Amino acid sequence: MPGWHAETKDLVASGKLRVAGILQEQHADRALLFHQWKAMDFPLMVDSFNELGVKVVPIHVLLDPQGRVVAVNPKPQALRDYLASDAARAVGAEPVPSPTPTDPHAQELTPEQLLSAGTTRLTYGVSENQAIAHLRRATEHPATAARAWFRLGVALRHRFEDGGASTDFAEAVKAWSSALALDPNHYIWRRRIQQYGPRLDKPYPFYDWVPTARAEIKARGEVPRALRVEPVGAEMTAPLPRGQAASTPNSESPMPDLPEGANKITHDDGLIRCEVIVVPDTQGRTAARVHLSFEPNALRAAHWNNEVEPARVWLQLPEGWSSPTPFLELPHSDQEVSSETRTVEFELRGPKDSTHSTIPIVLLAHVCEGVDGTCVYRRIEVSIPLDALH
Amino acid sequence: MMLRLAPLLLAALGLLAAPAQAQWKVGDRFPVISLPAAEDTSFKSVADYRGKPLLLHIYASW
Repeated sequence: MPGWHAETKDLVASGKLRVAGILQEQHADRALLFHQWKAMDFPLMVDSFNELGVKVVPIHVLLDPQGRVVAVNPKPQALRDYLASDAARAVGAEPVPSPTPTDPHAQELTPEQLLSAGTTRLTYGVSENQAIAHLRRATEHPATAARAWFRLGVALRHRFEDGGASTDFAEAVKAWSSALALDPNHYIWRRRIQQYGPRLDKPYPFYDWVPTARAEIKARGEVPRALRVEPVGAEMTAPLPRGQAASTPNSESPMPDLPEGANKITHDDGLIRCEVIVVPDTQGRTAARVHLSFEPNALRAAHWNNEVEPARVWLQLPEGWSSPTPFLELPHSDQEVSSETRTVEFELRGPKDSTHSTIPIVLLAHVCEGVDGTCVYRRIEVSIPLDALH
Repeated sequence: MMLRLAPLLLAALGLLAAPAQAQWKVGDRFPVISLPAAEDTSFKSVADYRGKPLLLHIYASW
């Protein structure tokens, strides 16, 4: 994109050409940061829901002054040749009929209207929950199911990031997987899963450029554009090197034993709530990236005790399964106590013919109950479901 | 007339070779879909850029 920007800057400045972008990603502000980094100033439209229906990116489309396609992916010289031709002369634009808005409150909506009403919530003032309900209904109709599943995933992930239900992310992954199953050649849909998925499945790191961009923007004396949701974990990791991707190591890291006497540690009775999201490999290999979040139960004023050792997770991997990080420490706070949700991610790989339906993990953490309550070392057992991998 | 002849002219200019994945053909009207602008709370479509040739980049920052 920066190459095209440099190529067309003079054409835009001289009034011969307009340039605009349509983004095919979940978070538009990340693209704006990219634009700031590369000093690109053309306007951007956001198509997180893939309403345009493109299956791959990038695509460059040259339109004539009436909005008709002149060329797809033209070479720079061909663009200049076209602009020098009579066909490129500015003319009065033909009137364009405005799309008829779908009334989201109508009693009976066709599948296409459900899809539209669920997608255009921002335009027509439908609440996020209503939009999601419309999209769910649109998944029930064969004509709209694939697009509705994808858009439902987008909406659920948005709601998750807006502080919605903790299960929204897991449902988003399932929705995207359902969409991809109906159209396996749709690479925009595939990328949305891979963004959060295992390294084995990544075509490239998605947002590893963010720290460099920020550093270079700051070095220019500018303030980097803020991001609403910081890219972390899977969104920053590199693909697995080809050699490692081809093999299935039996053990990438020695399996650490639980501390002596771990079985006698007090079992948690609901002070910590755990959410598990398993993002599978989109090519059917037995691999996944697991996203775990641990949230102290606010109803019982539960909180972390940070004056002791950090909370730790042990994976109890069955025979043939491996993880580069079978032992993890949760993020720790500098405060004496805190009640934030703590998240951690890890990768899993298993044998093709594995029959295991779950993998157990154990969290050992110092957790307190009540404002002045006692703090107890607790054992929290969680099962990682593997059904998405079979 | 000029618009009708445009595809022939473009063919002569070598602009018609679209890759296999392209879903639009030369001469198609590009879809007018109202999309949120990234920079503010407005909505835009390609119709807002008519009157001059438009180079449209469809992409993602990854």
